[in-house]
Amino acid sequence: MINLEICLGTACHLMGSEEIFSSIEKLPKNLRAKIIVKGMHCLGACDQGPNVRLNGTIYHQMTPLKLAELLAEYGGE
Amino acid sequence: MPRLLTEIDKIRRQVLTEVARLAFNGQILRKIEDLPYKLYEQGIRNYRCCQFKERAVLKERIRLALGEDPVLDREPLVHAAIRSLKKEKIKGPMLKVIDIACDHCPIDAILVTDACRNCVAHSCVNTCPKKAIQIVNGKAMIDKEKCVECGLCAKACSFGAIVHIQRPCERSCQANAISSSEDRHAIIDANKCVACGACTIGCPFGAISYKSEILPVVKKLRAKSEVIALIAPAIAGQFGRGVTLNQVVRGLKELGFAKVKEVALGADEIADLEANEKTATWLTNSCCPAYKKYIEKQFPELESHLSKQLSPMAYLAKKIRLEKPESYLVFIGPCLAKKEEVCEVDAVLTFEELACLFVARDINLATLSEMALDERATKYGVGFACAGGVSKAITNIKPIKVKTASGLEECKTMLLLARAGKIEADFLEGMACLEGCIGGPGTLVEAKFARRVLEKELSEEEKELKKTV
Ligand code: FES
Repeated sequence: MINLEICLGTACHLMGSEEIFSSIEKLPKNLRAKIIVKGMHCLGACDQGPNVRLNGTIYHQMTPLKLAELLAEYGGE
Repeated sequence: MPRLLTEIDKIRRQVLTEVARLAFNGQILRKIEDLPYKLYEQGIRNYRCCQFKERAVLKERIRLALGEDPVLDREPLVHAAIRSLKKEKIKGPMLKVIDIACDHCPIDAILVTDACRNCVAHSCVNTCPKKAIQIVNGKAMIDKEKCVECGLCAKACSFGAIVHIQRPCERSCQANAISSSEDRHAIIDANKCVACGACTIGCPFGAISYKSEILPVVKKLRAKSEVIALIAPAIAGQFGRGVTLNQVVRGLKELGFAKVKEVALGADEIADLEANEKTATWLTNSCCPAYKKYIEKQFPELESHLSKQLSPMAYLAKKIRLEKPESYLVFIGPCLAKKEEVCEVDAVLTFEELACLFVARDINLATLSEMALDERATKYGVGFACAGGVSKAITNIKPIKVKTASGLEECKTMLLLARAGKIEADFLEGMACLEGCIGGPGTLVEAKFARRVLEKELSEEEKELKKTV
């Protein structure tokens, strides 16, 4: 399973975390099924948003594209 | 947002946030000159030729954030800041071209591509009204001297081998207000512009943007004046999933707003007035300022059909002003055209500008407690945020025939038909932005997300009501 935490704090939201969230819904079904998504209030790196945490590791300046690549990697493990 | 967030949006937001931060800390004059360097160091770079140009563009973006026109001269930012800090109000036109960011896109408007097969039909040659196309070396060739860029050949070619390229700014502008100068940079014709803001989204170089009003608002907030927020109906969902309207209200209080009022309250009353407005034939709404301007500028003969009512924003502002003459009224919404609407409102912020103020003050809405509004509008008033909402509110009061259009392109078609007497409706609803206000250029989330949130909120409200009855 992949634990995906997405920051919903205002600083991250301003930089597009909502798009990160909605991009999860568009992932291929088998990959989507492996992901547990959780919204977070702040991941402590507000000036580098949007931030996500994947199985405990923080990633900054996420875009839907970058995240999809990361998730595919994590999912392939 | 009418489309996914781009790097341009992020840069604009970073600039606004930094300027707001300086303003809140009273450091504008001391630190504004360093801001282009700071932002550059923060990583805004790499898509211009060199750091000098990058910073020159940033400087212009900062000028806009200060509410000043971009000028592209050597004037230090601090001079612009001093001027701006003295201003009570930022005056329009609000949409500005940043010349140095403009790519001066070449406009070879009609282009024959390699897909041309030198077919037998030669529809291109045959459809060209100016006889500008010849077949040379087995390929269609356009005589630039004769071509008037009508685009008919592009439509006629069975292979789609001829492309009609338009500069993105010009294409995005349904009011035909954008043209290019001799050295090909974009020019906005203020006489035609309806301030819808579509060009700010259309230009992929971020060369068209808006003058911000954060500075005068921050000034009032810091001075602890009685600042009242008038929030547009489209606010639902703008600050993301997990953030409720009541948290936004709390956030506004923390920023220093004395009171928060829903503009939907005004919308409720306007719907009532419009439903009962007398006209000879059909009536059309006056609440969307870009649509209203579009009629005034492009269809002056239809002006008499415009509703005589104030916009919900102007209506509510007038009411509050009567009660509190000393207050400072800030409209917060998705709209750039509102920035140019003349009324009792003192300043207009977009949702984007407001979010930048929150971030500048380290206010994280997601962590705040709730704070309810003391008065809520009906679902019809709130519904003004979506295309079709005004019509719904009016037909709820009076069963009349309506016709709706959203996006200026659709509005234009509707108005042309109406002018020709080919529309059978009592009320025409026009919204300059696709999907209505939730598709506005000052929004923070995609329109379809906003619509989902809004619909959910409204249906829940209905359930609540049924419970209490
Ligand atoms: S708001 Fe996202 S990391 Fe703080």
